[in-house]
Amino acid sequence: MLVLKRKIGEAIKIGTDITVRILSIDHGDVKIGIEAPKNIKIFREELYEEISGANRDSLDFDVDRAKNLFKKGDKNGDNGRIDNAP
Amino acid sequence: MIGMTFETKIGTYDISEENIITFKNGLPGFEQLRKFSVISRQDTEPIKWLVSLEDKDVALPVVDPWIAFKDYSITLNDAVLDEISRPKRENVIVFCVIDLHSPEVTVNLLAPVVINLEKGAGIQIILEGTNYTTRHPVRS
Repeated sequence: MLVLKRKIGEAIKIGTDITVRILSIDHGDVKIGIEAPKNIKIFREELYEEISGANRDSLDFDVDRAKNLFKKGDKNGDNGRIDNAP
Repeated sequence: MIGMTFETKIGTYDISEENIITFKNGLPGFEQLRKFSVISRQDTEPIKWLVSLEDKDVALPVVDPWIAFKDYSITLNDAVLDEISRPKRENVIVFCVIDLHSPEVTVNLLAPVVINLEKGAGIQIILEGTNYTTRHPVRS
């Protein structure tokens, strides 16, 4: 792992179009500003890990358990189509 | 349409090319997998199956979130729409992953799977600024 020391207000560049700047440090909380192209997705690590974990948990299923869920009175099955997409 | 036979976690299926969905960044937890398909099985409807066509041990049960959560609401921003080749509204489909393993059945409303049916492109997004979580209990 590359380790760099930075002062408040200083930044690092990752490639040519990502800039990560240290904005403030307060009692162990570091505020970071990130500039990146919009196609670069930025997440808190623990959030991404939570989604990964939830996906992996869902792998372990019993098909039979799927058979009787949502059975009553729902026939509007429009298969997830949404009306509010731009 | 020429179909190919795929062995999946829920059985062997003929899947035509038009039903293959590419997740160009994979899914969280399965970043290395790109090719998926959504399989509808009559015996589990409305739960469908997002199956990997590259790893026969990977299949995720998914459901139309509005079946269980009528007020569910998501916004697809430009970055997401770009990622799935700018779908027309009528070609967008949304599923949420359901956990059928834990004692309580839950749905991941925080990270919906969004698919452009026309282009066969998909992404699992992580919603920002919502109160949704990965585990909303299904009341049945």
